[in-house]
Amino acid sequence: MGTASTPSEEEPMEDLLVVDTDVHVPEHHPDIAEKVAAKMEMPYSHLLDPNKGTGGYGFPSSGSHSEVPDTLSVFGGRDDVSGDVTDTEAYIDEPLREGFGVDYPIINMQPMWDVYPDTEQIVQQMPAANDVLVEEFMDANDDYFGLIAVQTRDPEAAAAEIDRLGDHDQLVGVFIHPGGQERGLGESRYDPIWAAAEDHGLPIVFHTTATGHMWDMAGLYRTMSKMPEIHTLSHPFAMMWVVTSLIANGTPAKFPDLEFVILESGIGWVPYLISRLNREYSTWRSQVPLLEKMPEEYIRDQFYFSTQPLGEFNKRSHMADMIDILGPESIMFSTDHPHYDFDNPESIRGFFSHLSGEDQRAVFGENAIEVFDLPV
Amino acid sequence: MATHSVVDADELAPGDHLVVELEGKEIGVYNIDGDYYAYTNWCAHQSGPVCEGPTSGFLEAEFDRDQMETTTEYVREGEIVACPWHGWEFDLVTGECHSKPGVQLISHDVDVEDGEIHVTV
Ligand code: FES
Repeated sequence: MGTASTPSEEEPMEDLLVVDTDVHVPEHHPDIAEKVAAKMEMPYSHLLDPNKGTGGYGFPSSGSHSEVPDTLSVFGGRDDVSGDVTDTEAYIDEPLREGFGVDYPIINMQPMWDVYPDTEQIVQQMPAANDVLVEEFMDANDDYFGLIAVQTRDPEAAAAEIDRLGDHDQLVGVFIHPGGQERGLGESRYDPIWAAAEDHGLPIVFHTTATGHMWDMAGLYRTMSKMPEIHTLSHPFAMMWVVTSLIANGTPAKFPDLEFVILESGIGWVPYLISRLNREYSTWRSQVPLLEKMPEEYIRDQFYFSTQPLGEFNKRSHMADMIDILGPESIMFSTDHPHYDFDNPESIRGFFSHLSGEDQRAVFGENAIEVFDLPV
Repeated sequence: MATHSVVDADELAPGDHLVVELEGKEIGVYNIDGDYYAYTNWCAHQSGPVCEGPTSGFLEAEFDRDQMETTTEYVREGEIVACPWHGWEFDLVTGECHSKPGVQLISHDVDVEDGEIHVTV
């Protein structure tokens, strides 16, 4: 129970405004990589172009790194819609907006720049990719919103990219794929990124991938061979690291107007992390002097968590308990379209049916409208 | 409520503290810069003997958004006690817990009369 929606004559989600906070137009998809490559200089242009180079990462064509795009295509999910990613009608409107009842998709390019070895390449690739996002997707439809993707290895360049695009009406947040070769994002070297985002009133959005996070904990991942073990741990592990690093270094206290949105990790890990951070804070308060309140309060005030992939307990009511602990004011809906672990809003809303209408509207749309300041 | 003489005032110098038993309760008595404070030797976290913990100060931090710099200053040396069990820090002047909002030490009135420290329990 709990995953099948009731067939009906009505349009899906007709009575509820739905903002999908996690829609992918993957930067590593050959059709997009080609366009990004065309905006870059040699040798990166050649490297990234799937028709000429290795299709992205700047590694030789053998070895695990260059197989990353292949791995993703195997697990790409809805192959029926994944083929022609730049055909927005076929890729976004029909499956997602008409099919699932999503009103406003927030689109990201899911770039895994943290795992690229060459900083110069990702610094060049960043504006190229964002320009493709604008030209191919933002310009295609006023109801599309997008996230400015930034690499983190050169924080000043990331801040400059946020300044360059921060006032675009449809670009409503900053996307970071955390992990890989980077350090804990709470370190002060990353502060220029947070400052630029705060100045532009843009939330920071974190989203990792199983393949990306394998770089963070390489020793651990070497022992994992099955997708259920890798994919169970990759996203929540990476996000626990991000949230913990930010809290332990006082980032939300330094940038009190900045908000953080965590995608694609579900919500079950959050109550656990809140309670553990609280306990650690109480014991080690003297080491985190920037914090003026409990970690839980920073998380409740400045962090949001997207639903997908919503966990599946054997006892359905346990998910309601989880939702209540975190609170509808901290939760945003996302599908992860078009990947294989996407969530269908009609099915997911059943898990929120114990909430008031107002709280359901918050989860499926209003929280995102407020945090991303969507002009709708 | 009864008042007990616990020690001669000149035996408890500024910065010193002692733990005495009064009416079956352990009470920590502190001299902080010539002012006296008394608290039940019991931590609201998990019942640890808080008054047996080390005293210290703490770091205050400030982030300068324009300079993007954090500065810290060590303040209030001797006015903070950390519970020896899990480190919760309490303010010996106010009894307030800095590690968990809303938590307080149980405090007792202290007076000095005829050169002796009196605690009311
Ligand atoms: S009992 Fe005092 S800190 Fe745990």
